[in-house]
Amino acid sequence: MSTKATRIVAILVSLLLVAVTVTGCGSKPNASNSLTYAVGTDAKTLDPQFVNDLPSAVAAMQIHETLVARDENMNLVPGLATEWSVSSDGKTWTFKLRKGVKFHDGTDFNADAVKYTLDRMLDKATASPRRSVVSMITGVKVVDASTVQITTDQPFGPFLAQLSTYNVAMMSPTAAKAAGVKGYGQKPVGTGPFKFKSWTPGEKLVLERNDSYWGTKPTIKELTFKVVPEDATRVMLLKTGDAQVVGGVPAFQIDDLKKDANITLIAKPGFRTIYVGMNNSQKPFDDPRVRQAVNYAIDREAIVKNLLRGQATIAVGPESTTIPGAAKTLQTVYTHDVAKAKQLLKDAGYPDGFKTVFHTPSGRYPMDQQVSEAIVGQLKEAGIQAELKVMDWGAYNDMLTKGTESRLFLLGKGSPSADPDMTLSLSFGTKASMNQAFYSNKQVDGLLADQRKETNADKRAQILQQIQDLVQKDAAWANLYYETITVGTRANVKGLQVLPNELIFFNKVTIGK
Amino acid sequence: MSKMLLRRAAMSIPILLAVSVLVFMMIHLMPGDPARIIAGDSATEEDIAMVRTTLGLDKPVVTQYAVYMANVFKGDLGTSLRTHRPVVDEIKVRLPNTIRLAAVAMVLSVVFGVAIGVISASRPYSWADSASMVGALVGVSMPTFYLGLMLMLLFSVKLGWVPLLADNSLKSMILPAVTLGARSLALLARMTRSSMLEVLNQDYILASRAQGLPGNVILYSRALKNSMTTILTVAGLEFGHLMAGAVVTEQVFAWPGIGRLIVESIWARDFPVVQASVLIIAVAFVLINLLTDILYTVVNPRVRFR
Repeated sequence: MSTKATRIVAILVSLLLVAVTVTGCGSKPNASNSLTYAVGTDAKTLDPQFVNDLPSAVAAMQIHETLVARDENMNLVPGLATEWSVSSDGKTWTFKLRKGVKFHDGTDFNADAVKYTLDRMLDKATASPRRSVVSMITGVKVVDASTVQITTDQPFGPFLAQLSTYNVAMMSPTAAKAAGVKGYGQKPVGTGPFKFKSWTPGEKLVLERNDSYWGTKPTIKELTFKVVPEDATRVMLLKTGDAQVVGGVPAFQIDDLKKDANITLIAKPGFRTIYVGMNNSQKPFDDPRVRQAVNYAIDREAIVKNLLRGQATIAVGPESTTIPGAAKTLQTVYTHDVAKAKQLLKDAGYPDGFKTVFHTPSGRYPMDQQVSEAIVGQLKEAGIQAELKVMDWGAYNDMLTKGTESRLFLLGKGSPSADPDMTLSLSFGTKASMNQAFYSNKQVDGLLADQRKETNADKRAQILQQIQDLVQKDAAWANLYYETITVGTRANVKGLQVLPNELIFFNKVTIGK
Repeated sequence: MSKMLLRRAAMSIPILLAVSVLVFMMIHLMPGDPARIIAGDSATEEDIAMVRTTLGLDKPVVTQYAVYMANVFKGDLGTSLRTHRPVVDEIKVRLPNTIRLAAVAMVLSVVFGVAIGVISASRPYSWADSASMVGALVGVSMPTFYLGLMLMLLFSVKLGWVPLLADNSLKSMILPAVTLGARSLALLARMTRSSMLEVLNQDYILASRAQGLPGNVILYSRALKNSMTTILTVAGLEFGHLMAGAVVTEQVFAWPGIGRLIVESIWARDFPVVQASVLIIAVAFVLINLLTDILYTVVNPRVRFR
C-alpha cells in the first residue's frame, strides 16, 4: 500500500517540476540600455518639497533639478540657473535662467515656474516639512521669462547652498496644479535626465530617459529602482548580475566582494557624522570634564579598523571635513587616552567612575549596534559603567527629544545643504530641533546668527571655524567618524556619479559588454 | 446549518471592533511622535508643529478614533502619513501578493505534508517514517530567515535554477513559498501522522481489515477521511499564520507583501496603514475560520446535526 503512496508523491513532484520548467525559463532583461539599482528602502514620495529621507531624494533628483547644482566635489555650479548675483545689501538675489529647457510634459521652464515652485513651498497650506529651507525668502519676482529675483528677510550667507538642496528642485507648474499637493508625489514632472514611468510602492520605481534633456543625455533607456530590504539579498543580486548597482553594501561583505572580478566597489568619504551624543542638561554630563573624559575613553581607531573594516574616516569635529566650508582641523583633538579620561573623571568628582545608560538604534546606520557595544566596553575601562539599551527608531527619537531618560546615545547626521550652517544651527543652537544633547552656549548662539548674515565667504568660514572649535572644546558630543559611502556596481558599469551627500546620478552611466 | 453560519458571522463583528480599538490604542500608546518622524532629520520645531496640525495628530485620541471609524464605515481607510497615498491604494497592491504567496505555500504544505504524514503512518517506525519525521523536525525548527538565504544561495546564486527575485512566474515563487511553507508542511506532516496512527488503531479499522478490505481502501477512504478534521483544523490555522507570518520571508525575498508593509509602517509610526492592515488580516483570520467551519460539515457529517 505504501508503494502507491510513494507513487502519488512521485507524480506530484514531477508535476511540480514540469510546471516549474514550463512556466518560466525566465530570461533576464539584460539589455545593455536598462539598469537596475537595488535599494534597501523604497522612496516615500517624489515630491521634492516633501522629501526628507535619502531614498526619496535619490529618486526625486533623477527627475528634478535645482537652480544651483553641486558637482562631484560638492562645489556650487550652475544648474537650471546659469548665473547669479546678489545686491549690495545682500538681500536681493538675481538669477539668470537656462534658456530652452523644457519640463517632461513639454511646458517651458521659465521664471514663472521658479516663482510657482518657491511660492508653493512657502505656502503654509502646502505644509512642506522642509519649509524652513526657504523660510528666509520674502518675495519672488519675475523680471522677464529668463530672469528671476528673490529677496530674503536679511542677508543670508548660505543662501545658494539652501537653493541647491533637493527640496528646492523645480517642478512643472502645469503638472503640479493638475496633481494637487497630495498627488504630485506620485506623478512628478521635472526637467531632469530621467522622467517618471511607473511606481509600484514597495517593489519598484521605473524611470525612462528624457530624450530632450538639455545636458548630457543618458545612455541608459530605462532605470529601475528595485526595493530589496535585506542586505544579503542585495549583494546576491549584484553577484548574479540581476542588479547592476547596489547601495548600502554592508562592511562585513566588502572583503568578499573585492575578490569578485565582476564587481567594482565605489567608496567615497561621505558627509554623515556618527557620534555619541551626551545629554548636557543631566548629571553627570552637565560637567564638561565628564564629557571630555568620554571623548578620551573612546578608541575611534579600533572601531573604524576592526568593526567598519576601514569604511569610515576618524572624525575631527561635528562636521565632516569633506563638507565645503567645514573646518579641516580643530584646536581640540581627542585621542584614545584612558589615563587622561580617568584623571578628568577624578577632577569632576567621580574618582570611581559612575553608572549610566547608553541608548542605541539598531539598523539605522551601518553597524550601529555593534559600534555602541564596542564603546560601552571602552567606557568601562575608564570606569564608566554604561548599560546598553537598544530601541526602535520611533521610540528612540521620542526619548531623545524629551531628554529625561537619555544620557549617552549613538546618532548620525548628514548634511542635506552641503554647508555647515544647516546642521550646526539645528544641532547646537539652544533648543534647536536636532539639539538632543541639550547643548547651550550663548557665544555659539550669537556666532550662529552672525555667520548667516555674513555674505563674505572668507569671513563666514572664520565664524564657522570658531563655532566648531567651541563645540569641540565643550565636548557637546563625542564625534566618532564620518561614514564612507559604499556602492557596488557590476564591473561593466562606468560613469556612475556618487556624491558625498549620498546622492547618486545615473545620466553619465554607460554599460559595457 | 445556515443558521449556525449566520451566528458565527455575527459573532465576528464584535471581534473585529475589539481588534480595531485594541490596535488603535496600542499604536497610540507606543512611544514615538509620528509628526517628528515624518518631518524627518534636519526639520525645525516649526516644521514639526506644522506636520502635526496638518495630520490632525494634535486632537485627543478618542476623537481620532471616532473620526477614523466613521471613515472606515464609509469605506475610507485614511491616507498614509508616510507616503500621502490613500491607504486603500497601499494595501491594494500589497495584499494580493501576500495571498498569492500564502496560497502557493499552503498548497505545497498540504500536498506534501499530508502525503508524508500518510506514508509515515502507513509504515510506522520504518526508515521512511524516521527520515520524514526528522525532516519535519528540522522544518519546524529551521529559522525562516536562514532557510531563505540558504535556498537562494544554493538554487539561485550557485545553481542558477530559479531567479533570485520574484517576477510573477510560478518558477520564481518556489523559493519564497518553500521558505514560508516549510514550517506548516512539517507541522502538517506530524499532525497527519499522529492523527492517522490514532485512527488506524481504532476498532473499526480492525473490523475493516477483518472484512478483508484492501489496504489502500482502509488507508484512504477510512483512515484518512476520519483524520481530515484534525488536518483541516491545523491547515486552517496555518493559513492564517502564513498570511500574518510572511514578514520574514517577504523581507528576505524582497516580496512586496502586506507583512513588510506593516513592519515598515510600524517603524515609521504610520498609524493609518498599520490599523488598516491589521484589520484586514483580522478579517482574513475570521473568514478562514468560518471557511474551516464550513469544511468541517463537509468532511464530518456529524457536525451538521449540531
